[in-house]
Amino acid sequence: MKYILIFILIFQNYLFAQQNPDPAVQIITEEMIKQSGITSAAEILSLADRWNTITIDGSTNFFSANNLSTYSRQNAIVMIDGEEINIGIFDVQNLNLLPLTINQIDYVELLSTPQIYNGKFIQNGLIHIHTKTPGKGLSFHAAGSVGDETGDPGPLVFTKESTPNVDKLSQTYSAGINAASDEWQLKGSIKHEEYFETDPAINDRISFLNKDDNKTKDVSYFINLGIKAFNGNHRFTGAVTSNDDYFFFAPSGNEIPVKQQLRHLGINGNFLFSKIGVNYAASLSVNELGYLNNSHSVNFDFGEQQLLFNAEIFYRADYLKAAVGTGFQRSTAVTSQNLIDKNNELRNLYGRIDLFPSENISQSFGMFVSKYYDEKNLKGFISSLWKINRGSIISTAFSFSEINLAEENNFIYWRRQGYRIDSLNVNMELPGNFNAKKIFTADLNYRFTIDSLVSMDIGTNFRSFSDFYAERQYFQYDTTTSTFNSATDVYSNQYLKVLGASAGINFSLSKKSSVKIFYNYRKNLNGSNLLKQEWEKFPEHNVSLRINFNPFDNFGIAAGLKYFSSMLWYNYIYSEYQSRAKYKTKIKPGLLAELSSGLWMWNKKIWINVLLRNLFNEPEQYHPAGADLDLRLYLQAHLYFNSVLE
Amino acid sequence: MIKNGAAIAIIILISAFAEIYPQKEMPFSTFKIEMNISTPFNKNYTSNFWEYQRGYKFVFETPFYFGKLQFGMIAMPYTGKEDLYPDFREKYVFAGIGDEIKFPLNFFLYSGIELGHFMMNFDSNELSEYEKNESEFSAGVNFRLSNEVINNLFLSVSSDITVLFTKKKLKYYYLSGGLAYKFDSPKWLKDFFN
Repeated sequence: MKYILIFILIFQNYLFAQQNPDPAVQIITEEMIKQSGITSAAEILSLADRWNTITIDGSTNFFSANNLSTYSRQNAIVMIDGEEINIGIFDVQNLNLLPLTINQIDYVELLSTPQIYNGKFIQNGLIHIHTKTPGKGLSFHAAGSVGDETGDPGPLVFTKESTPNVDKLSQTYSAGINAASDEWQLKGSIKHEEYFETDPAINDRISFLNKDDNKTKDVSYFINLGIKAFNGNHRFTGAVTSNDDYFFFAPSGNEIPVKQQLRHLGINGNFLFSKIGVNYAASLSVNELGYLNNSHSVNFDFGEQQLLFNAEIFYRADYLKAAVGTGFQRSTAVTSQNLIDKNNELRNLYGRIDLFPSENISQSFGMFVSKYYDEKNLKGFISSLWKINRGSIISTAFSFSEINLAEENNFIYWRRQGYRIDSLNVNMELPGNFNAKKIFTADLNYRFTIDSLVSMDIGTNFRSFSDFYAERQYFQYDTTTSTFNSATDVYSNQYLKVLGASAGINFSLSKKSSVKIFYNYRKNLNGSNLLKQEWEKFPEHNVSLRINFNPFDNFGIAAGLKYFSSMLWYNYIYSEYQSRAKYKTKIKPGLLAELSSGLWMWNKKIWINVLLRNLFNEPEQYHPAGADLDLRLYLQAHLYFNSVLE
Repeated sequence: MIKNGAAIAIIILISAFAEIYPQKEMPFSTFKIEMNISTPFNKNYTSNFWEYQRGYKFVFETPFYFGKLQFGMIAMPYTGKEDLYPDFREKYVFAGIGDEIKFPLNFFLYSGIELGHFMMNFDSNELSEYEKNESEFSAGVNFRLSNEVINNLFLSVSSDITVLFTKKKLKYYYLSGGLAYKFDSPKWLKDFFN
């Protein structure tokens, strides 16, 4: 595969045009977030065209970018204003742990093809959240939302028709204060979110371990100071999140009560000296699965302290930009257990070149070498974009990656180091050797802009995964405790080839209304059964339709329709029978509608929104052990006082 | 009793007429306050266990960019037929949007859709604070016939046809009658909403 990449690198003859939008990059703006009535960070990915998302509890997501990873190895890179935030632990990335509030977001940048970005090799997608730049002086903002799911018993709770109470889904509050001048800006905010596990399919399971209530509570504090000094921009970020959560731990198959703590301290920025500059980033973070009171005293006794450092020097000219950098990442297990090695140290060296020989064509390529002890792994990419004519853009992206287990830094890695959860029955068999995974990706996208009102996207992608490992689990359902259990056998030497295609059309009916339709297709080609089964968890077909209508400057309506085909979760094949089909292997196709309406008031100081999800109350489920979500109502209000004191 | 399709058809018809013969009012330029006596006029599954008493309906209404916005509440007490079924007080808070057409002799016909929150407060010392309160989402349509008897004072009769999205869906049909008064919005209020 390395030689294929080098072959492509040498013979590719069209180049990337930086000034044109790359169809493989998606920007989700504040306006789009507001139009869709989104209330939390996790929901933002519902607007991502090429990403698959599923939810078990209705409030957090598992996701996969552009057929690049399975749900169990999601591992996207998550950044806020260039600062990488390590929200992932044991292959779970809960975006709601991010310390920012929804009304701080200016736009979200989603990268869906492998490449080098800010000193990281983006293998499984990037979620880069850019916060708003505050106006000069002092500004304040606040937001609140409440979500409610239908299907309560109502007054019939006192009759023989009584059913379980599903009640409230979520309530969130946040407030922030910003201050800025020409040379500096300071942003601070606090967020309080509560999510309620209301579905009987989950509640029965949670009740077994839970002593208290069915509520998760997430409190975050965020501070960011940006200054212009020393010929550059520099940002200091501090964040603390505490989340009383039911952590879905796949090796166990159940939600484990945890007090998850995320603490982050970081600095990033640049120095510019004419055509040469330096980018740098350094951070120290702790992501800890702390003990939360539970009836079986289950305790992960595990946290991960991560030290990151990256520096690169770059050169910019009219026709090229070149960067060479190096990075260091040390993850240290914070546990009372004795492990073979509590430190997982990775070093990397990389280079990236962007060429812009003309206005219409240019090309980027890069090589990234990561080193774990004596083991070196190579990653590389080449991406091109060619503006054929005024309306047509072609982009291509190819990549090859070798990824070793230490880079994934997940539960299996730490298990190999001797980590055990004594209070939880996790029976896991590991293979003797883990070869470095090898991934080859190819993406071809074509964007055709007919006029200022209509544009179309067509794309195809190919993935080849080899030397993978995968878990074999067959969950058994215990009817007395309503919980799952399964032995986990990890198999190596797994392989798979996947083909994907997408098509979209975006047209503006007028200045006030627009329609967007996007279709995604995925097909497994040849591969080993275990990896094939992992990919059967994605629907083959995904279609989304979104209509935005803004008849007035301060009032808008958005309607969405989403279809996904069926999904198969083979690891629940026995529990389907044992639970008398309460938990099913096959997830039925979904056809879901939503309607959102927002109104600005008081010269855009107040914004209110009403959102109805699953408007026609159709079955909505994504995971065999997950909630079946009914019609939901969300109300939210935002308050903005910008530059009140200059 | 009332077909959903027929109700929607009437709303569309009235909205179409209202668009053809619009009443020129700036958004949020006026406010109308309406006070009604209200009573359900249907029986649903809960009628087997509770009897309703006479209730009240309050509505605030203002012109919007298209049609009229309504914010209202229907409050109604229910008495349990047996001790097993505790008395409760219903508060149905809703927001709606619709359109109105004017007829000769100062008659007005309004129709619209409404979304609301149906809250029930049960009166029993045997229940915990948590059990005393139930609430659920509700959606429906409403119609109103009103007559401007003197300048800005209206007599009105209205009906709200709503579905409560409990596990077993419950339909409530309310009939209300009362008085309404319309006044120009103060400038600060117009500024606020705009």
